[in-house]
Amino acid sequence: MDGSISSRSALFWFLQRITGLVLAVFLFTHIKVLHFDFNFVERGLMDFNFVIERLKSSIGWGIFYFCFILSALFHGLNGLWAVIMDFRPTPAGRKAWLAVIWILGIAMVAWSISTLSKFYGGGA
Amino acid sequence: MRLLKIFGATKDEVQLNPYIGSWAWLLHRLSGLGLLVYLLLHMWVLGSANSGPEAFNRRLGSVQAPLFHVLEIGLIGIIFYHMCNGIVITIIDLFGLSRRHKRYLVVGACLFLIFTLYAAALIIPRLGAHS
Repeated sequence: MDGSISSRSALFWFLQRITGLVLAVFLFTHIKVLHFDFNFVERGLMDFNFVIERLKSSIGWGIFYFCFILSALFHGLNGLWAVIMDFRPTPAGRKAWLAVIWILGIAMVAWSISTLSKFYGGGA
Repeated sequence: MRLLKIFGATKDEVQLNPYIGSWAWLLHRLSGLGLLVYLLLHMWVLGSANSGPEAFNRRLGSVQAPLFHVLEIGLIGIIFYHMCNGIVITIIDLFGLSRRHKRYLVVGACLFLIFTLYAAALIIPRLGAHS
């Protein structure tokens, strides 16, 4: 079974459930802090300084967002893959989609590391 | 043509089995794809920090126009639908409850409504501050 397609899809099925549950916790925290508790009527609109202040208050936020981004990208792109597979693509189509998904995933991880580091690096 | 076939197959799926499970499945898919698009757009907006604080403030400012605070309620609704339905699916899967899945999906939908109405009740009173 090891390395076969079925054990791999079982692992990804499981990971989709786990990242989903983890995302529920991350996303609920994110929405509570930025949409429920943050009131733009009292605080004014969000800007760079607001984000920097919040993120620099604790490296915990950096770790939080890094894990958040990784699980969201995995969950979203793995979900997209499941949708694509339901339409039974040809082997060539499968390969092409897989390449798109991997490139998009790696590019977005790199992009977000760079973005996060802008808020932690030096201040600006 | 191919896209028409895809829509046709999806329509058949829901018509052949026109029960709550099919609708939950369809809405979960659509909300999931929508949230993936949103995630990429969200990262693009925040990624403007890569071009410096001014670029970031300009782009983040433009998505805080009044219209976006209205759309925010819809976004939170879509998130809560996908979240509540997803948690219910996970519970059904892990504890072998599929024989009673309809009941649980209804519970998930009710939770989604409660959370979304709560979010709307918080955000709508703030909208007047824009004018």
